[in-house]
Amino acid sequence: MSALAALLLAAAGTYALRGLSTFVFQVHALPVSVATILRLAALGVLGSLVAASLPVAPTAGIDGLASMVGVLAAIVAGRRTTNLPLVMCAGVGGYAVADAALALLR
Amino acid sequence: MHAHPTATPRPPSYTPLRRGVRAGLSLVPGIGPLGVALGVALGDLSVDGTIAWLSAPLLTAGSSQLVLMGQLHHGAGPMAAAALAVLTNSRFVLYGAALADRFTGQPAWFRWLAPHFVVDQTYGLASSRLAADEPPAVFRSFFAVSGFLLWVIWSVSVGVGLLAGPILPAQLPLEFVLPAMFLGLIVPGLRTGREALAVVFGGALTLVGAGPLAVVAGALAFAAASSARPAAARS
Repeated sequence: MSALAALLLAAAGTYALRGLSTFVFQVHALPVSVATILRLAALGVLGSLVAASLPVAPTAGIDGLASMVGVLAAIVAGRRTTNLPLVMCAGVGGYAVADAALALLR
Repeated sequence: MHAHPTATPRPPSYTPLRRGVRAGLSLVPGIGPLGVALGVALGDLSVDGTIAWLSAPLLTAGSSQLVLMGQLHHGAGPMAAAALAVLTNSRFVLYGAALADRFTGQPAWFRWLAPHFVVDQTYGLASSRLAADEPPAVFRSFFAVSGFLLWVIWSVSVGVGLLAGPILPAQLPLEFVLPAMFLGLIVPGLRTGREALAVVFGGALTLVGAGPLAVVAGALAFAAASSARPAAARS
């Protein structure tokens, strides 16, 4: 019973994460620049996931700091170009560079 | 087949619905094996099999399903386990916010149901396969169909893994499943030979290169090859 309760709680929380942001930002229309940054940040997250999934990635799993660098790299790249593959690559590259640097430091 | 001269024009071959179906089915080679592997892993835990399977349709997020069931397996309380699972899914806030403008003006049923289908794959599909200025109806059909297909495929494949776990090898080659899933996102979106060449070149360099910079080399190679594409060829 407690397992079912935990599952329902997690499902409700996850739906809130997915859905509330879409509803909140629909009600309070975002400035174009903020919406653009959010879109690019999401692409950066996706890019970081791609990099972390590669078998040659230096560390297993997703490092929060490396992901953040990947997201920032995607945002910076996206402010300069609308080429989606390039923005994604910036996310992948940013993550990989940060991940490699962290692996060396450790 | 020859069209009759007086026949009315046929609708475009790729309606939003068909595009959604094609996009959803293109995910099968990637998320199918991943779902089976996750099902096998969940089957090894002490959590009830029905609840483990229910996590697929209710959460539709592999990493958080594993976190939740793993925590319960190790004796964590329901609140703590659920909180960790939700934390694992925090990236969905960004995806949801980034898709907010696409949800504006949609019918209520879509705005309430569709967020459940916001995952890495559907966000990637919506970003790469649909232009930003597509009409709301086009986005609605594409996202609803591809998301629903993903949800069904994921739920079925996790169930298959749970049922077939005892007869499958103990160690599945998971290291190739995740890249396969992301390739399933990228490859069907390729429209020109040059784009395909860019992916092959970048991927090959990543695999050939040794050491921690292999990923960077592959990404840079892909970026260079992609940016060399003539602007006129871009759709």
